[in-house]
Amino acid sequence: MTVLLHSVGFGLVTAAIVALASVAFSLQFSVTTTPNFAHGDFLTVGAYAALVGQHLTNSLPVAVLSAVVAGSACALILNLGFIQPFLRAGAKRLSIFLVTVSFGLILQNGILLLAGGEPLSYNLTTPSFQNVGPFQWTYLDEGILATALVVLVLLHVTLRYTRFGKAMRAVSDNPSLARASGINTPRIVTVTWALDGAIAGYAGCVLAASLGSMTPTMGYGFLVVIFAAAVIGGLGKPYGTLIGALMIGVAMEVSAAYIDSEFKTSIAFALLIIALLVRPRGVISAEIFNLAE
Amino acid sequence: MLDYLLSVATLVTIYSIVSLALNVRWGWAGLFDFFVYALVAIGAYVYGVVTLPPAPSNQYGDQYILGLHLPFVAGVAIAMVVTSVISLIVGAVALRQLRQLYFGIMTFSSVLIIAVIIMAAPWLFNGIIGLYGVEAPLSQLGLDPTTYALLFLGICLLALTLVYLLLERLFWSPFGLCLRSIRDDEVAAAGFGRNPYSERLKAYVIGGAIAGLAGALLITYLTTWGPGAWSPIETILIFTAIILGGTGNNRGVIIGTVVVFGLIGEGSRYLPILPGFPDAYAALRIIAIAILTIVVLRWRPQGLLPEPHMRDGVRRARRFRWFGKEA
Amino acid sequence: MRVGRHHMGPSAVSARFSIVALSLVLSVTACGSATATQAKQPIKIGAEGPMTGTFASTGQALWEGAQVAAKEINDAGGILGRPLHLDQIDDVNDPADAVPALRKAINVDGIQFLDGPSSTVRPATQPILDQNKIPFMFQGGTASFDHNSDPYAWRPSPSDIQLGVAMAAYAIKKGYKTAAMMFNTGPSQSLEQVVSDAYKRNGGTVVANTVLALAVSSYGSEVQTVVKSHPDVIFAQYDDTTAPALFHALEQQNNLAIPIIGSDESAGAAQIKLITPAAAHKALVSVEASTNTGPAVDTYKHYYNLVYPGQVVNTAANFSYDAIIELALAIDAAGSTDPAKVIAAIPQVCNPPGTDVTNYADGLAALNAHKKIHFVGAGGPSGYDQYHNSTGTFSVYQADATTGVEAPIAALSVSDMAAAAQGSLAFGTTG
Repeated sequence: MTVLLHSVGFGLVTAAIVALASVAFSLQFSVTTTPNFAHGDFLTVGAYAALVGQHLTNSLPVAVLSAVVAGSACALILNLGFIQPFLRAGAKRLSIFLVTVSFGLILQNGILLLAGGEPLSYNLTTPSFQNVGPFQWTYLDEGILATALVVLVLLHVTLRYTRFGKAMRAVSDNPSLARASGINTPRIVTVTWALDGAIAGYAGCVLAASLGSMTPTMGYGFLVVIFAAAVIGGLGKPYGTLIGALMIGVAMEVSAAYIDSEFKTSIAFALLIIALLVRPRGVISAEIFNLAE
Repeated sequence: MLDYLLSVATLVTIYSIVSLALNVRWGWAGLFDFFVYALVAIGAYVYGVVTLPPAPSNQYGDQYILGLHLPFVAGVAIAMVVTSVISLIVGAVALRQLRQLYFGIMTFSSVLIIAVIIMAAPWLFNGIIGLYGVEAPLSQLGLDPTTYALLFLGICLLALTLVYLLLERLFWSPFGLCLRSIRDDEVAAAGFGRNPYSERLKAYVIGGAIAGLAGALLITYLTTWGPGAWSPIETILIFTAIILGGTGNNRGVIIGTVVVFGLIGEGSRYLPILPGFPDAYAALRIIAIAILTIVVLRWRPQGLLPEPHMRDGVRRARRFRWFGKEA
Repeated sequence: MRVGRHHMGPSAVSARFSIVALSLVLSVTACGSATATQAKQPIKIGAEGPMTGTFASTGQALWEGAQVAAKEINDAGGILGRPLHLDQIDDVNDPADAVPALRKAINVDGIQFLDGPSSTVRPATQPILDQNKIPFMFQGGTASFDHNSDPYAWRPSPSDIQLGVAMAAYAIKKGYKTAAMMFNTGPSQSLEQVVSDAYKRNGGTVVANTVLALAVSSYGSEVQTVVKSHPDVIFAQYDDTTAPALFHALEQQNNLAIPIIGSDESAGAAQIKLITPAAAHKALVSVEASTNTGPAVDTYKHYYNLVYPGQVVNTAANFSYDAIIELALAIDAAGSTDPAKVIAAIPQVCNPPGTDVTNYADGLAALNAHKKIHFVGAGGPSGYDQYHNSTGTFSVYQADATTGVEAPIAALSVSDMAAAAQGSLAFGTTG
């Protein structure tokens, strides 16, 4: 039994990282309906920015801030510099998707060009674990869980109780009606992208800390897991995505304890494919998990 | 020098065949398909296990299924049949309810799963080491290497020409017109009694067969095939080739392939090595291709050679406009 | 039905022809300069490996070793009095890239010898090398090379079979009766099989075998499985991205209490830095071909610091360094770059008996004095058997707790290896 519980414990940590990245993705998709294939690369940029910040100032808050700012900047550049002009020129949705793919490649290879392909070490704390209830976590793990929780709670509060949050939900539900009601839709879209990039950058920093190292393809490799969580929860349903992330994270770790651990990431793919086939709109169908009620 | 040019020409020819396969699925049917290169890989593997002799039985040796030692043509035919069947299965399942983005995610994930399966079951296709020692067809003629390379290039060009002719025929056939009408306006097409699902599935299978052909040729040329030879980046390069050359236009797609794989791919080998930046030209190559894709999508989304159009019952190429989107 | 155009349009055909024609014209003008004086024309040796991509650390190590050797050789006057020029060939571990890259190096750049390739692309590149009569120094552990019959192919680095037996032998000698396996999925699995077989053959018991997936953020469950099975030792081989996460989990769950026997990969400077020297010192020993001390290694380090000042010496580059020097000495001994003569000369300079020489300058001087030499390189004494495989001895290395520099703590003798290979090595003969 302890094996199962320990695995669930490890799974929760993985789930926290997946949750941050995929909730950001879902949020952005729900408001803009643009699938962003460069999302994984926002994570990578965040991680490398954190490393640079750490290197220059040796201060963790500065490193995290760098990650958040860098992720946000990339998202804003993508939206304002590429997606909006394309939309104004009347491009097809598929073209815009390909633009995000290309943008992601530029980010990834830009990092490769500047930092090289070798893994760069990112050791934050020396692990010393404690038993928290039935789980076994290090200080780093607890930090990840705590901050992920804080971010998600803040997000929830913003969405439910602030004017901006309500405006976001309105745009997500019915953009034309929102605009007709006087909501500044372009501004909402811009801020959504900035938020998406910020959370993604932070997730990247956290992922690198968990891995102990970073490479230029780190975020891109994580993309499938992000998609899995987002699709299972329902693309564009951030709350459902959260559930999806939990399922994926725990499933991956628990499966590794019982079946050949080689297949750990394949579990995520397999769940994704099953979800796509069985319920593409999301396994979580309850309406309360929609962004707009 | 000639040997080098022949090798580039042969590879570009084979990649052109892959581009034509993807063109059928994406250009004509509008399917955002990532699975095409996995089918190339499967075609290569199937050709390998069908034409190689049975696996040697030493302890640390190689393992793979079958090993029928069949000749070239049989190997190609079987490879194409297998990829068609797999396309049928994947297509039947995926096309039934998935569109666009979901379809793309599905096919993308399927590629990764296949890669994992091949690595996890080394008894299938020899895992990470892959298959090697594939015999060159017509080697009993005993030609010197350069002449043989010319002969093999000729075989690939012949295959390319046959595929091209077949696809040109299909393009103007009722099937092709129907497919494109479904791509452009599914609801209207359905209103006229077309069945989008079955037409798309046919396109998917045709694309799969052609991809299998390309895979068989590729492993024959390289005499080896393994996981190192295929990855998602290849698919993105093929997409760029199609976008650049002209989505839907067979000739355009071939030109796009020559530019992306021939000029940019080979050209980047001649860049000087910058000490301290070992990944410089590999990174720059991809960045250049990504920027090229964005530029083309923005200012000339129809590509170099736009898709030819039927007007007044007569086939015409679109009027040539330097910039601007499709009419 | 009206017959449409059933051939490639003129624009496409002419586009292709003009590309080919342009390249031909360019190449002809480039080859025109081949009539330059033969005397100072450089000797070109290619260095092929994955210089970019997932396996770039292997390729970069190969390139570094070659560069270091080239500096030493050119400082000593070159080969046959001619400068050595290296040509970098990036194959990204992909046969589809290796073929045109290698052909360019041979047909356009004119290399005559090759340092490399690696295991994955050897099947695709070997026919090209044989066809162009290019002697090459293959560096890859694959067991399928153990019975090589290609006259142009030589392997200066040890086979995985030898490495696996060495790892098992050390565990047996230390008296570890039970073991767990933690190897990455992919190429490491073949090594895992060798280690496992050799270990069991000598009476060891494998109590757990977890395959480590690549690039996942946590190995908690895998480590849990291993710790639960209470092994005396863990055999492992994993890449740089796996290392930190794996060690985090090991530290977290049992404080690195179980000793780990790694391979040459775990001795890499980059990997030790990633897991921290303290952790490496505490839990890890690496088995690799004997190296790291002696005059040959000192020369290697000296020139490494000249070419890459400020960088930690990359010990993974030693076989590539040896390969270039062996080729150079063989060309000197043969008196020409004729492939047949060079191939005949390689065993002459590399196999005992002979005057031991540990660097290029000494070797060249001895050859000029008409002595028979035996090259002892940074990778240990060389020596090729009838299959062109080199036999070597293995040593066990441990990292210093602060600097991470590897130092040998034990050696495996030839008789140890022979006994382990047969299954007759006794437990616990080392403290």
